[in-house]
Amino acid sequence: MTELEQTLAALGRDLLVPPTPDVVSAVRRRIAPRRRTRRWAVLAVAVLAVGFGVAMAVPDARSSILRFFHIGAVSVERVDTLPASREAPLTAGLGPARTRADAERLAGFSMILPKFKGSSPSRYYARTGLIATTIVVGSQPVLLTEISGDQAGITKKLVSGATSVQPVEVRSHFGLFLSGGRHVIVYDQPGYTDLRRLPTRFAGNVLLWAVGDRTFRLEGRISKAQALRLARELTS
Amino acid sequence: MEGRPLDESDLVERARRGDQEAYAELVHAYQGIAFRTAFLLTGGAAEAEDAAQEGFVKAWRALGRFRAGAPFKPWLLRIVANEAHNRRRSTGRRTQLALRAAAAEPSGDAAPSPEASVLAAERREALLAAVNGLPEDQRSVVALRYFAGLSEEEVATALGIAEGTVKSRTSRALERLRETYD
Repeated sequence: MTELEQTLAALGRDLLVPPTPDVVSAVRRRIAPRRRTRRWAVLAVAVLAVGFGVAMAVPDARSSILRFFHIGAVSVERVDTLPASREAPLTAGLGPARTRADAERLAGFSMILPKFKGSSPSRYYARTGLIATTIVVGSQPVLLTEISGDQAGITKKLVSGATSVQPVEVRSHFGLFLSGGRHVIVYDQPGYTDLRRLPTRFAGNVLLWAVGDRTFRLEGRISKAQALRLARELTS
Repeated sequence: MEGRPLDESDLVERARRGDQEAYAELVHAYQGIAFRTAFLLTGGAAEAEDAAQEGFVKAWRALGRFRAGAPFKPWLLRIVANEAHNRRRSTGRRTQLALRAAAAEPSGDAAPSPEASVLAAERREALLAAVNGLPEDQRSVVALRYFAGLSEEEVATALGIAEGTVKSRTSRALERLRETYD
């Protein structure tokens, strides 16, 4: 090794490199077999869907179910008190706007959606396993999020009674429409330290549905009819 | 930086058969060099963590294609380096590497004079600035070869280039750096 090479090696030892994060537990979670769990989840959703509508119509029953409910990569959790949250733009915490190609590269998958009748959106936001974009519905911005698999997740927290949760069907796929009251959105991506800094924000009306390993979410000042119309248009 | 686990081939073989515990041991053994490699290529802690984690997950999924008996580290680092390059491209920025504040002066047995310390620190800062200013292909080779401590063969595998290309890029880079250093 020449003197220059030795100096370079010494420089390497003195570089400002952040401490190695422990990725073992995050990798463990991500490589754990999910198929069985997912199959059970699908079965559970199908069974729950049958009784859901009836049960939600009865106040006593409403309070005893839905403590925790999964639809694709999204969890809906009923809590007694909402976590500290703030009003924030729909895209808060999702990083800078990108082109669709950049967003897909960062997210690691290609969007199934959208096939819009109108003009296609131009601004996309991405995290590993998640792509979001904003579209306009009746002059209101609506956030459309697509999650692939279970690398990224979203938890909806709501207070029972304040927020209405209705089962819906999007082209034979089970879905949920959340409206009214204040409910919050929490992004969840195990092991990703930057996501721990994401703001917990109040959410607008939300339609959730899942197709295969993709979970879709529409959020904004949007009626149930508008959301379903859009979801059916987007879901082939 | 971690070394090669003593029973690496056994762990890899068990992981190839689906043993998650064996793979977790490999992750534990190599997360340091994976993160450092990703950091050297992206310059960002969040992107590096992201690339390392994603690299390990993709490597797990690709273990079926791993050639039995081959060294695991360069194969893994190639996947991590790919992830790091993708993230750097998507952020569109190239963060400059920097020295630790306490490392501005090289350590030694005899305490250098204040003037000598300042000159040495300036020289090191200038050399690092020159590394930061190298064309991307040369900078990656120098960073992995000297800052991550990889062999030429490992750098070649990690970057997906021929060993001869590593040699020629290293040679061109050192030539440029010598202008600053000499």
